[in-house]
Amino acid sequence: MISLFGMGRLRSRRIVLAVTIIAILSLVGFSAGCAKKKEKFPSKAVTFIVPMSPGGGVDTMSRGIASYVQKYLGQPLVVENVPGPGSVNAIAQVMKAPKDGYTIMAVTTPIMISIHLYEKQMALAKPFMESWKPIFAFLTGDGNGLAVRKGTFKDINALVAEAKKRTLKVGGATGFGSSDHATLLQFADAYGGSYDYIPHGGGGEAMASLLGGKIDALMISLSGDAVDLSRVDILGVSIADRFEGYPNIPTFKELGHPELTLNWAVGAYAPPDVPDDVVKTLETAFDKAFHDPDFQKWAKQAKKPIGTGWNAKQWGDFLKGYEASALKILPKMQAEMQKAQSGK
Amino acid sequence: MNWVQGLFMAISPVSIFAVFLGVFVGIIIGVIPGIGAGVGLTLLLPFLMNQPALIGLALLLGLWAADGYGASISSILINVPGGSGAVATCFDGYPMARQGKAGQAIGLSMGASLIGGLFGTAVLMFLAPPMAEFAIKIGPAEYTLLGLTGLTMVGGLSGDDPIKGVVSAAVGLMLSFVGYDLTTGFIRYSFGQKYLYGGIEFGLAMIGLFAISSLVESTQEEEEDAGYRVRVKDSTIKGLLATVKYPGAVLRGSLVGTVLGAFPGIGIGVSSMMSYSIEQKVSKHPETFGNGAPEGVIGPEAANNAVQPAALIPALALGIPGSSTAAIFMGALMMYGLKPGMDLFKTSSALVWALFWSIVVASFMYVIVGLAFGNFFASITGVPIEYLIPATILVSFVGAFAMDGQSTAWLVVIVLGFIGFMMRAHKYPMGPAVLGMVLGDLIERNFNRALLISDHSYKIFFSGAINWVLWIILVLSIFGPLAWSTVKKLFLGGGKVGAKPAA
Repeated sequence: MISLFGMGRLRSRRIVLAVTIIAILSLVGFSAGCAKKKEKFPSKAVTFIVPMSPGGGVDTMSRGIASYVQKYLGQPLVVENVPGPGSVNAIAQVMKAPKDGYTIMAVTTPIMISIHLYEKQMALAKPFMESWKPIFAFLTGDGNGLAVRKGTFKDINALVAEAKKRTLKVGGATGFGSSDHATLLQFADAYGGSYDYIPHGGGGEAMASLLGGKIDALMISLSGDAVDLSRVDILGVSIADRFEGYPNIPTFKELGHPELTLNWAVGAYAPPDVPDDVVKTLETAFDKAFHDPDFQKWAKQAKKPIGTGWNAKQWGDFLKGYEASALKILPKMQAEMQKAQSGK
Repeated sequence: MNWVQGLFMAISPVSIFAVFLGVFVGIIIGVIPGIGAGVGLTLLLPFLMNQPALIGLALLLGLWAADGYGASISSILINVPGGSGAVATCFDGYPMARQGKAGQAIGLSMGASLIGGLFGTAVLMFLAPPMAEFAIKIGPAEYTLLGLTGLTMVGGLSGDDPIKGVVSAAVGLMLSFVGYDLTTGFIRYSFGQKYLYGGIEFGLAMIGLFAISSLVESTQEEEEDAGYRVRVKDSTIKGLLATVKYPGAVLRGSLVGTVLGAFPGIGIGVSSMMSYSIEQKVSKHPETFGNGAPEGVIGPEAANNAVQPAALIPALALGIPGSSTAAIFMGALMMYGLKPGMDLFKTSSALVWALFWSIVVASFMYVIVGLAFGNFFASITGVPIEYLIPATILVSFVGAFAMDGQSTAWLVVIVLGFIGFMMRAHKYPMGPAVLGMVLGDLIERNFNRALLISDHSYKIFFSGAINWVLWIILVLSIFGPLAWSTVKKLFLGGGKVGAKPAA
């Protein structure tokens, strides 16, 4: 092809270049091979698998912290997107890789619902709770908020009163078994009233449904969507303390329902059999990165409710607690899914 | 005068340099199949955090705008779509290239992209608030009907065998149904394979069904055909200037792209395919489509470049991102402290105007960069196709892997490539399959959602004026041609029409 463009005389120079490149590449390969021998972790780049497509809330958060983690890890933390429902493709990818700590994964709380709701499909993720190792959670202050068109409902009580008269249609950004869906079911348990969950193909589509008056209310997450508060009222949000980015949004806790504190968290997990000292090294790097003033500044600028961050133990315990509360609403969730599948 | 101030901000050297960088990266990202503007924006965003708002956002807008143009280059030259919006460009762009008109095709794509982009930007500048208000009136019922109207275009894309066209469309629809169904939580046609739970991505399906199948088919060509060296006859600049000869196609494409692009539920793939179908439907010579009709390049290219500014309409006016790329851009806006919402237009500060002007600058910029490299790109078609095939296959597979980082993607590409090859070998038209695949997801998702909202009452499809208008268009596009010829026969006298010599 080169000679076709009349550059044949450059060919010998190109061959020299190619040989040089091959030589360099094989040297790199050689040194990577050597690194396998007992060396201090990490001696090469760590892959951070994100179970979502580039650009979403989880991906933005993961990339956000990754650039600071590598500062403290001493090696690059490379974000790799492996999308697919229920994180199942990402889990498969992590399980395939050697369990040496060089491949870790971002985990979001709804995984604790999907491993039960989609038991058969998620079989690979079943031993998740028992054997996987929590590292650090870097988005811990987010929850689901219940949004309505401005002026349609005065407050949460007005909405519940209406829901006792007729079934309200409440949208969510994704499908059944998502945190939007779970929070709605728990909301219905706490407040009473009747609600139908309407799934959407993304936060944007869902918000258009709400603003266009096709649905009554919408479950949103503060970190995932860019919320334009001039058109919607958020009647309540399922976090423990008000988020300083949106100081006017009340929490369900202060509205009298502390059981509706269901943080929607994102954190890092290592697959089973990764040595404990390696997990500890990773945890320390994430912890330092989280408290880096530049990371805190970034989160504030991008309006990410990162909360206080959780260490490995807190993060693992949180997911255990989340699973327990998810199991309580599971029968309801299955019933709703069956209803949607049968079309009646 | 904020708009003048904004213009001067946008043409300041630093800002122009930022746009140039964005355009340069954008064209490269566009050319490479499998990665699009979304990936580019995501990767660049962290580096732009500490830059001034105008610099960072102008760079991102430049990248995003140029991606749409860049994607058409690989469609035209190697028949592998560079992005979801560029599939329709393959249909006529590649045949043009094989006829030695690669330069003209790239030039036409450039001209159409430029005008489409400027048209969309003009609407974004002056009509965004009312457009946004209209866009949110379109709900699940309306999207369903819109999708069904689109499906009626299959007839035009089918060539001389309508049955094969319907079968081809059905293949596309079936592919779009694979995987997790959002509204029921049901997983269909996955054969127990984890990889298929998430469905088959449109871009990936196109690499297999469309690109690989055509590569395999080209090996069937006669020996001398395969080794035939196409003489590149014309230059990109001629093509660019020739765009003005097709004002109808440019305008229709821009309009379709702008209107559909402003609807948050419709993707770039739908917009460009609809534009292609419309061009063929209104053409006086529909049989030239698929054999290198210039309108077949212009329509979809004008549309897919109008989509970018149009997607900013709901994103900026209402805070509703219509695509993942728009969502990332909104994230960038918020990072710089700009809040999406109607206030952005009401106050319309100089900065907001400067952003709009940056898209205009970017549009001219990719024409300039395109002119500089266009003829060089076009010269690739001078290489006999048999030497191009190995590299093209490699590019297709790398693109497939880049799409979701899993090697299982190759299996999907191979299987779909085989299906596509069998379809081509038996003379099935590929257009309907592409249309079926982009519309299947839109129709199914919205149909189910409409019924969930209406408690399974079909009345929702008949409520509101927009629905009725769509029903009329739908009925007209099915029975219109038939009714028209009957009316002509009955009232105008069949003899008179027949007496005129065929044009």
